[in-house]
Amino acid sequence: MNKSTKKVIAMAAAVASLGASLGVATESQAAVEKAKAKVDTTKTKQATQIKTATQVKTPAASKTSNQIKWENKKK
Amino acid sequence: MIPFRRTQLQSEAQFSFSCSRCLQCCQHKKIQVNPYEIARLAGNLAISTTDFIARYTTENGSFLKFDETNTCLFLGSDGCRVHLDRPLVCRLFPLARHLNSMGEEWFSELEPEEGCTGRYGSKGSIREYLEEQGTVPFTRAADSYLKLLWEMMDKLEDSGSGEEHGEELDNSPDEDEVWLDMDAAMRSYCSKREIPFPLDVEEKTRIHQNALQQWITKQ
Ligand code: SF4
Ligand code: SF4
Repeated sequence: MNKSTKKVIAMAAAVASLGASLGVATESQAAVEKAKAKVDTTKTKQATQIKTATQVKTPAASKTSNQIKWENKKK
Repeated sequence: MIPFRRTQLQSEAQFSFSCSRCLQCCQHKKIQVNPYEIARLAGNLAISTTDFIARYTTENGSFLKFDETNTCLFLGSDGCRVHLDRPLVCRLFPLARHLNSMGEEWFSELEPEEGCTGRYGSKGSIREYLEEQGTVPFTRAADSYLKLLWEMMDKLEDSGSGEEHGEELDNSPDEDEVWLDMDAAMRSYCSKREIPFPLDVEEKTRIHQNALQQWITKQ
């Protein structure tokens, strides 16, 4: 894997985690999968759902951070 | 969808709330924690952020772990065991803070927790409430990380994949993988540059954000 591909994957992963930690819904997990799929072209591309079931969904395009104690009624 | 009582509130909007510490709102919640909040909590427990992330967080370190009864692991019989270093969302409750990439900030007031015995008052403002809750260093850190996040999102959108542009980015693989674990990232960053490992959380956060910025911009 070359350096730039590795960086795209690392950055997409950082965006997914940092985004979640700041209350920003991102489509970055999908970007991680996309970047990985480019590396191994035999892999089927697949959509990855971000775990935001208990969060207010904010479209990534609107770039809004929601800092809130989210409800989590499951369990 | 979170039920808001009021939204689009500015910091001078009237708000006053006195918590009676019934401890209900430390259950059935998702508590988001950014690298600064993790560093504060790890410092409170005198462990590294690496240990903290492994023991107390979930979803790649983005949320606090709750136990099998869906109760925060830091809830003790007398209340929050990490009160001085509790995360921003715990300080905000029953408010939520919103911020967009243009730097616009607004607040929402949540519908009261079922059975919440806290008292709403008629004097005071959101700004005063936040001051009482000691949110300033937390919002400052969140805002700085958000700027970096917006930048990374723009970069990813622009590049699609950096590979197409044939970029050869000179990054350290170990730093690539541990950016959000502040101690691990700083250990690697500082030892390579032969600078002392910062012990103070505010200083460590500042260096961490600078390092992250360099990593984002480096071609
Ligand atoms: S960190 Fe403290 S205030 Fe926040 S949910 Fe846990 S016990 Fe409650
Ligand atoms: S439910 Fe209300 S009174 Fe009880 S701890 Fe939370 S904010 Fe305070």
